Formats: sequence, structure tokens, C-alpha cells
Amino acid sequence: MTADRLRGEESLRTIKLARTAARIALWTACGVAVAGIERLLPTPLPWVRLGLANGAALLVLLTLGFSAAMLVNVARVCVVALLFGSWASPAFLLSLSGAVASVLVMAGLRALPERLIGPIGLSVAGAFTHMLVQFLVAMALFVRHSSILAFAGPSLIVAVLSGALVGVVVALVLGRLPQTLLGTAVAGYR
Amino acid sequence: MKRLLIRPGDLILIVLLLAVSVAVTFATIRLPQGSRAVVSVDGEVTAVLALGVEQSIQVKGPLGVTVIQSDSEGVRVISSPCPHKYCVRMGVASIRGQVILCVPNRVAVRVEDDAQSGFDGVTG
Repeated sequence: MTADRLRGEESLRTIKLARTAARIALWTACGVAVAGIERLLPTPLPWVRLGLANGAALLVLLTLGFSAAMLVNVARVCVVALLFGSWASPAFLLSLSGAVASVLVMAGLRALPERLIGPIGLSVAGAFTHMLVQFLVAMALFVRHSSILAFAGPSLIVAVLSGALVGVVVALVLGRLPQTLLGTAVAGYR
Repeated sequence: MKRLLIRPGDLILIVLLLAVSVAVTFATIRLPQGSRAVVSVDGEVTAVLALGVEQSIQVKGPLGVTVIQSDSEGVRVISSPCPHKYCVRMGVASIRGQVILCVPNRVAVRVEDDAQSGFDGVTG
């Protein structure tokens, strides 16, 4: 009897793990898709984008947690770089550092009570961090000249506004998608 | 209980980060300063003034003499025989590409830069 129950628990764990893996793959694919589409849209500066892919990472952070969100964002940046031929280029390193920093800050702010800060605030903080870290890394590694700062201010303003927009999208998606696609409880954020 | 779409912390974050961004924008804004002022009358270049050096010149147009002065702030028209004195009221010009015009007396002062510095454009 005990052996049967153990086997039952184990298969339950396997199923849970498989579901989590499937959800991570799903949201990574979603991030790749929206990032790819955004790349096709013309923007005044190459690094100014809406940032819906960061929204996918935020969604995963709220539903599956920190590790899954980090995995989704890093995997997304790598897949997009491979697809668009920027692998191991300066642009790739900037995207990667921005994506990692964004998840770190969003995860940190998530420690605050849910009634105080929702998807919109987390998204804005993530977008701002992404842009800021990109500029800092670019200045430290590639440009080494303060003239790049002339672009930082306007880019940060755009990041805050687009971050808010993405946050609204995430909030709406959280409230509408079936639990199966999202995973664990997100009651506070819905 | 139905949660609000936008919560207090969200608003605080948006306002705070937007303020930081605007502050960064204003702190880093640097208009390209010119190094000389090219004076032309009726389309002909008649004089070149070095910005930052105090000097004044007089140029003759159809209506009379226009006095142009350069100093540490830039270049300006001091006096003009034209009826409305728009050129005098335009004040000082120091940013590359800035122009002071006196249409009646056909005088144009354009701020230029002999050594191009900085970037013309950036691409990813």
C-alpha cells in the first residue's frame, strides 16, 4: 500500500513538473513571437520598443515564480538573437543584461503587498530597469563616452510609458486567461 | 474581492520614474554650440565673426548700416536701420544653425561650426 501511494505521489510530481515545463515553454514562445513582431515595426531608435516580451516574463513571475520568469526572459533573448542573427553581438549582450536586471527588480518589488503594487507598477519598474541597465552596460563596455547619455533621458521616458501600457495588458491577460495556461494561484494579482 | 487595475504603488512608481527620466533628459541636454557667425548681406558673405571673442562689425545694406556684435554669449544685432527691429529683438544666437535675420536690410547672421564635433547620427 505504501509503495503504491509513493508511486502515486511521484507520478503527481512528474505531472506537475511537466505542466510547469510546458507553461515555461509556452510563455517563452509567446515572448519570442511578440519580440519578433516588435522588431519588424519601425521605431525612432533601435532599442526603443513596446516591450511586450517583458510582459510575458512578468506574467510568468506572477504565476510560476522567480526562477521560471528568469528562465523565460533569458531563453527568449537567446532565441530571438539566434533568429535575428544578433547572437553574441553587443546588441545581444545589452538585451540579455536588460532582461536579467528587469526580472531581478520585478521579483524584488513583488515582495511588497499585492494591494499596493500590481502588474502595472511591476511592469513599469521592469521596463525602466531594462532601459537603464542597457545604457549603463553600453556606456561601460561599448561606447565609453558620455554622449550616449543624450539618448538616455528620452528613452527612459518612453520606457516608463510603454511599461505602463504593457502592465495594463498583463493585468487584463491575467484576469482573462484560463488557470490551465497560467499555473499556480495568482488571486492577488487578478 | 476584486482588485484594482491600478494600485497606489503603481501610480507612485510611474510618477517617480517618469520624474527621474525627465530629470535625466534635462540634465543631459546639450545643444551644439557654434564657433563662428557668418554675416551675409543680400546673399553675399561679407564677414565672419569668431564667437567668444568680443568684436563688433558694421555691414551696409540697402537701408543703411547694421551693427553686429559677438561676445562670450554668442552673436547679436546691436542696431539696425529697419523699421521693426525684429533682428535686434531676436537677441543672442549661439547654437549651431541658429540664424538672425533682418529682411528689410537683407542681413543674415548664421551661427556655424568649423570643426564638426559629436555624432551626426547613430545606427544600431
